[in-house]
Amino acid sequence: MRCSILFTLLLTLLPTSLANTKAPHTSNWAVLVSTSRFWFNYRHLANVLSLYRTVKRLGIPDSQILLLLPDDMACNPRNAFPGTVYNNADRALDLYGDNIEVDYRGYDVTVENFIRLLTDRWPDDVPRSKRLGSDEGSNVLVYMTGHGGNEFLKFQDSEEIGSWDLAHAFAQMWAKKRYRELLFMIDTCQANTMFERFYSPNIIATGSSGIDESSYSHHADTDVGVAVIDRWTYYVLEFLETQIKDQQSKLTLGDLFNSYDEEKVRSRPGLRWDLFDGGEAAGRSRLVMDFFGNVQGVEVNDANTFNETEWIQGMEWLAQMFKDKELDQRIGTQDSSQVTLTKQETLAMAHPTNSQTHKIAKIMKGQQWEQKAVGAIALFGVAALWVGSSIFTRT
Amino acid sequence: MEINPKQSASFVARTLQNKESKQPPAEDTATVKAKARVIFSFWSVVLFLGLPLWLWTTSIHRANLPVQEMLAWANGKACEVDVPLLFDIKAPKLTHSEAQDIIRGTSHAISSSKNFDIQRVQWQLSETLDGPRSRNSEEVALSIEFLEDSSSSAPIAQLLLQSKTLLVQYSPAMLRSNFGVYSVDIGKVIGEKLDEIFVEEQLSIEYLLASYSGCNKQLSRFSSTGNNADHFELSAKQARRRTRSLKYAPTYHISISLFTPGPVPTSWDIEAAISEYLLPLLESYSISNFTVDTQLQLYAPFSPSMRSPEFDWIKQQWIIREEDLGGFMDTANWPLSPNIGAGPTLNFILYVPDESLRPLVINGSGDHSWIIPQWGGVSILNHVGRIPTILSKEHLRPVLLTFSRQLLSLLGASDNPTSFPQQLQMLTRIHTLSLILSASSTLGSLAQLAESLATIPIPEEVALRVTRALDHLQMAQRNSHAGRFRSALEYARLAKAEAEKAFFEKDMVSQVYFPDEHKVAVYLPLLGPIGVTLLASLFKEIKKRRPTKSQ
Repeated sequence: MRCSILFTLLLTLLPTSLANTKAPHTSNWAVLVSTSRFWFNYRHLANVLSLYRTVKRLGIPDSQILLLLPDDMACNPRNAFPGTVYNNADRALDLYGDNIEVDYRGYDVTVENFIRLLTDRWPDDVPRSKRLGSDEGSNVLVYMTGHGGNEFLKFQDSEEIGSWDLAHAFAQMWAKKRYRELLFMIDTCQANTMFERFYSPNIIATGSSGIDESSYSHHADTDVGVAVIDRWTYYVLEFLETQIKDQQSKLTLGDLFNSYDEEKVRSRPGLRWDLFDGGEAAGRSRLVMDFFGNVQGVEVNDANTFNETEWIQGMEWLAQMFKDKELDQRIGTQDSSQVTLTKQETLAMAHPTNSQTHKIAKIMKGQQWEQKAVGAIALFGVAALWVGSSIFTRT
Repeated sequence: MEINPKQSASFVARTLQNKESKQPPAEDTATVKAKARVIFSFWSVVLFLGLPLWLWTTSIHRANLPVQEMLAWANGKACEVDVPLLFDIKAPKLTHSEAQDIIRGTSHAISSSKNFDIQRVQWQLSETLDGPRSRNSEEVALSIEFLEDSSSSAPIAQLLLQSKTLLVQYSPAMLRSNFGVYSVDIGKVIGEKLDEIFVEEQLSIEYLLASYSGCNKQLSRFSSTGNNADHFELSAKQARRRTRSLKYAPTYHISISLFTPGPVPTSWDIEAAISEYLLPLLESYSISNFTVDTQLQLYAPFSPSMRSPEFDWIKQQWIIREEDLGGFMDTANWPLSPNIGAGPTLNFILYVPDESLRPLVINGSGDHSWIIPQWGGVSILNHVGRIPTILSKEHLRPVLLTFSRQLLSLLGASDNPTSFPQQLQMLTRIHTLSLILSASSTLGSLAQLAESLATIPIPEEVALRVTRALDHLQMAQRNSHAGRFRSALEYARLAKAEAEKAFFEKDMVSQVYFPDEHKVAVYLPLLGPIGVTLLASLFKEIKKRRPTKSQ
């Protein structure tokens, strides 16, 4: 019996041996989404901005954070403190600050855009800064907050995203190797229902409240006039801000999740481990910084194995070669012209649309005269009609 | 009016009696016919206009994808792509048969080593004393030149730094052996050298295939069966290299930045330095293009969250711990350009520390430069004495040499590059293979996606791109097989681009998932009232017709 257990254990270990030797993740991405509009939902934007501030403090650059804010609380006319957003009644920390990059705002925050963002199905003209450029080495943090219900999350009072939509989007991300590990966090009512449908591997999911439970706000600021932060997010942030002091922190996700206190949160926060490679044990041992920070593995050049003089010699030789080549080109040998020709060929190969645009331009040129003629005829016709009608009415 | 309940009951009974006794007037045949026609026309509108319209507007267009072929590429066909090595022999002073002997000897030597199992080896004799010249159109992986040197006692094989040439020095005496076994020594020496040169490439290819999910991993040294320390170290090394290097792109953007916490240097002669020390490398790296920009930022201290360096009194230098290097850059405040252009960006940072913090070195190795995988490199300039306001070309020389080394390393070259042309050749082959694998895996994912998500629309554009990608893959495979790696690389790149575009087609966003109860809730208020009337009238009509038929 024991033998067979050992054997199965061994079997399960074998295929992962390659994965174990895998180097750590190479980049961190964060997708931070608030889904609600209007002043009374101030706290949802404050939630997201707090997370934004934290991940930025822990080292994820703005270019790798996608911030989706459906409304602008800082500039809301009802805001008694214009240009600021606070997540605490003590108003010690202005979340809006002077260095904030919102990627999608206002009515750009839609279900469709969110799914496009995750699956990267955009028209060509969408800039890189608005895309999730993660790859198979990226750890991705997805944080969502808003108003939700059983297996849905409302976007902007007009539409909603279902748990299936989200699950399919993550499945497509996994299929295209757009994440290595993904941490999904959600703070809404009945939040845990949102990750029930996930089916792609290497996802850790956590939510603020179980089915038929509400997520509550933490406290209100009487001067701002509305609640400023949600309970679950408040306690997550409390952990992140007081325990994770610097980027060298070795605290794990297990520590973070153990800090949940149902008494304080007033709902039952949920966790999902079964999709993760290695299950709960492996998931709990992941560092908080693996998802909230941007710890880059660094390789110091090893001076011992490197033959510097040889390298310099090689470079100098290259420089010499380059100079010779330049001289050749100046003289204008046939060789160089051939090279440029092949370059053009490859260009044509790479951009087959080039000729198409040419055609289009030509067509447009040809149509100009016809269009003018049609316009002139129409103008004359209208004039004739006017003159004729005026003659008829006179008679 | 007050009605007696008894009275009203009798009134109702009377009216009922009346109804039974008094039938409505019989409809004339014209009205019956008209009625039937009305019902028929209503139903025909529903069936022939409404239903098709509904089906047409709610249907999802799904183009036919060559799913089988896509999956075939993803599940193994891509692994069969071979990247042969062609060795060219130039031996002006050897006869044809002597050269053949040496080839035989070398082949024997390398076949005993496990390294060349994965790559096919081909030979060609382009120059011999008497024999015919055979020349393939293929790209030569390495040319082996024989140099007669009668003074040498043992054959020497040496790789030339500047070209992909292996120089072999031999003396004529070595060609003749007493036992009828020719050129064993020379063959063995060449074989060992080839092994040394190409081991890196073999391992890379093997690792590439082993880490691709669709390939048969049993043959590989990285397979799970070879679980020993040796294997562990090998794959860790390869994994490090894979994660460090960027994926192949036809264009890279290089961003060189100088950050300093103080007011000096205010300028640097970077343009001249780049054209002198970096441009030759960029120009020679002929499989990609580069764009370069530079910036200089004053008053840019390193990240406040990093632990401050400590002073080592013995060595008289400031020390940063290696584990702190990850947080060295102040990503929130340093204006480091993210990916902007078409290709990926490589960042190179020159940090000039404050005078009070010099020399600043890394704990342990005492080095002052490091690589951030897939991102770029950092180098600290420990200038002795006051920093000049303008950093000259000479000041920048060591920095740019470091950058050029880091660049090559980030582009995927081996840890200890020996001959640049040979490295370039190797990278061409490896990139070709990895692009083919990547394109195949994308096509496989797309095929699986199309099969698993029934609600996702598939435009014709996607099918077109997939066909094109498959064609390009075929061409890449054919060219690679024939040893024309330049065109193979180009085709593989195109295949990957097409496959990616097909996968990321913007119209292929799946419709929002509707549970069935939602559908009922939407359709019922609309179709309920109409449907009831239509169905009721149809049943009535049928009922009416049945008895007449039986009569």
